[in-house]
Amino acid sequence: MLGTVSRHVAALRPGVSRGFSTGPALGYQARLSQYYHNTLRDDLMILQYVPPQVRARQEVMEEARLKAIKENVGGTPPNPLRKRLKVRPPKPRVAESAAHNTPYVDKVTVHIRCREALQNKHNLLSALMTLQVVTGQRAEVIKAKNDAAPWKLRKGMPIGAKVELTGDRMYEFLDKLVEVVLPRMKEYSGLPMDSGDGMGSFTLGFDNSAIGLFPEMEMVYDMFPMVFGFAVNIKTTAGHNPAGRLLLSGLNMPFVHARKPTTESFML
Amino acid sequence: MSGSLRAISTALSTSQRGGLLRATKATKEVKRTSSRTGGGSGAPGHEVSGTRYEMMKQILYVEEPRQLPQLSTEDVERHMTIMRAQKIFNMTASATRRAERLRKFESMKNAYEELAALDQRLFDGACQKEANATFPRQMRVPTETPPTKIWDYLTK
Repeated sequence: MLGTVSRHVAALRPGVSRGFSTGPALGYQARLSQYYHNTLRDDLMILQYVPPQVRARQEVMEEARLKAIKENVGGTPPNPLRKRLKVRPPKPRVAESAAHNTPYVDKVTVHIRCREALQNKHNLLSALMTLQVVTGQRAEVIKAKNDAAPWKLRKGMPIGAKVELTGDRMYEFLDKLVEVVLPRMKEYSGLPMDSGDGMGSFTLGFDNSAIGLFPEMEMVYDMFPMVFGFAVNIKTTAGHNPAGRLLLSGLNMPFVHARKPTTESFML
Repeated sequence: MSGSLRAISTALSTSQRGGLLRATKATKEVKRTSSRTGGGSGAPGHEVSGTRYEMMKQILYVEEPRQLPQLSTEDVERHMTIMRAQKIFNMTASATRRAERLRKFESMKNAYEELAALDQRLFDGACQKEANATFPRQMRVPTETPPTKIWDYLTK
């Protein structure tokens, strides 16, 4: 019942909170969230509408393409001796246009890979604190999954820190990133058009000069013995790159337009 | 300091440059001390910024977390009323938006169907999608307090 008071705060035990942030407390809907729900969602729905006739035509073409690949029309016959160890699962089909299936930003993960933690685990404190200050949410430690002898890394050693943001905190973070950090970065023109993993996930990497550009970090910047670069992974529910790009550009994320149009388009 | 680092640091502001140099210095210090002690125990590089790390540890792990306020029965009732009202407000707003969206979708669908019946050539043209479509960069997310003057073109 009272848990609703500390909805966004990482509570350690009931009734007690340890979350802190130099940013504003969130008792309201984030600006970007309001914008998405009031304006952007309808725009995306209209821009990405594919009429049923066109959809049917595209599906016939897609079937033909897949059949040609399967039957290996006009290609080299497959080597019977070669074992296919890794079979990539087929990509899920793009959902049919409807009023409800507009893409949205699902989750944002910010992580810091802290190599210096191998020498001295105290260096990880800097990374944890940085993430907590920047995102307003308690960071968790990432431990190594495997051994890596050349780096003197053993399984289970702490090697990084990450924060997974959803909801209003996620929108607040995106807002800061897009409105404050990216414009203040010198020589940053935007995400390239070929960014994205094809499943609607976009990743941005920053070096350690970018972390000081966050407004919360400015105040406490000199207190940090070590500053790190960080990576931001934006997971959207768009099934393919163009839809995710349109969504992110709607949230003011800059994209660099290629001189030549790429072959990728909204076709299935 | 290498040439490339110097080039980078001249392009940055003072605070950023300080951070970059400090980070480089700290990394070098870590490497130097760890190579000397062979990465053994004794926390190499710990003396350099020990007090600040102590403080961070204090804040992150040791310090007693702050207590949430103890609410009386009336306070709880008040709180729950506010939360309920908030939920009702959110539900109403969401339902309104959904109805509006469905209405827009239906009318768009009908318009496409009408166009297809009217002229197939125009319909095909309307179905063409732009490759690499993005929203224009000039599009702004609304703010609570927009400036009365958007842009001062005479600023030197």
